Amino acid sequence: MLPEHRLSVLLDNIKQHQIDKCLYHSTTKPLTLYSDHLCDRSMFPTDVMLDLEQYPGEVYQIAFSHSGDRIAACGSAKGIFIWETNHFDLTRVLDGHDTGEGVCNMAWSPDDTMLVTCGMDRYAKLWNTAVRIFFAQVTDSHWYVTMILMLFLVGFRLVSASKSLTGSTSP
Amino acid sequence: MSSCVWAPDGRTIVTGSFDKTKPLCQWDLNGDCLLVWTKQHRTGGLAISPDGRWLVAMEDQLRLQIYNFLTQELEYIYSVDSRATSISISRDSKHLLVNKTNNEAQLIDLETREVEQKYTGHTGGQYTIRSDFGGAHESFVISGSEGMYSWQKLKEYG
Repeated sequence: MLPEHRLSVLLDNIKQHQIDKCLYHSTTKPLTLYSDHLCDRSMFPTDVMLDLEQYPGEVYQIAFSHSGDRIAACGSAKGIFIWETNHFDLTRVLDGHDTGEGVCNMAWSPDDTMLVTCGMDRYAKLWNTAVRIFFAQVTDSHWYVTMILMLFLVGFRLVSASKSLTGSTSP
Repeated sequence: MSSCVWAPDGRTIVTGSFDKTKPLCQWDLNGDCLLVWTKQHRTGGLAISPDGRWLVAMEDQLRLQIYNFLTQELEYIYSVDSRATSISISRDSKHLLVNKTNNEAQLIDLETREVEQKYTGHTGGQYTIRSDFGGAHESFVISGSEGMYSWQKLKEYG
């Protein structure tokens, strides 16, 4: 006996196969089965669109919020820098890690209201973008020195699937 | 502290550290430690799958610890041939992406534990170079390098 919605499942599989085959896939629009799907190479982000230059040091990590409306950067400086992604204006600097060695890792909360960051000061801190809430500490004494070797090279464009970025990238 | 990730429900945080007394801890949002997962390894990086099934802890050496996030049990240890510098899990929670210091990234099926793809061309050497999934429908894998690299995630279709 055929499972329910079998045809619909098969058609979805075909769509996914077309997406997997699409070399420069760069659209989140629903696919049609009336024609074979192929994204044009010119839509694929290849050029630098913008340099975010305010960060005063080496950047170890960047992270888009899940909604794509903000991007955060952390690294060798004390502060965590946050830009909005419409005009890429710097909107917030979260200053509170008491370290000259920087902030090595961070993560947006699933609902984007909070950010958790790990500093070389042995503290992890939880932020609600405006208020710093201290919450944890470990002693990792001699090990943190190795982390200073971190070098992070990445272009900003490709990290995002947000429409505002891919749409405005020049061919 | 080397790394921090959110549980998918947004109510707890897991932190990794090189300190062997607190290498993998779970905290609530008041800052109370709910659980010390293990004291068996140092943790240099962390990833939790969006479906809440997997927690992967990257050691400072050649091993990845793969936990069941729901039961907190260690499911298996995955050995890599060169030190891992970053780990990520795909949106569908099926694949683990590992970047390594031998200038190769691997796509690993978390359930079958098999390498599905290898990505090469980027260079990072002993530096920490991150990689991640990205693009529309998460069709791509990207990595930092001297410059930047992107690959089609499932290359056999390329």
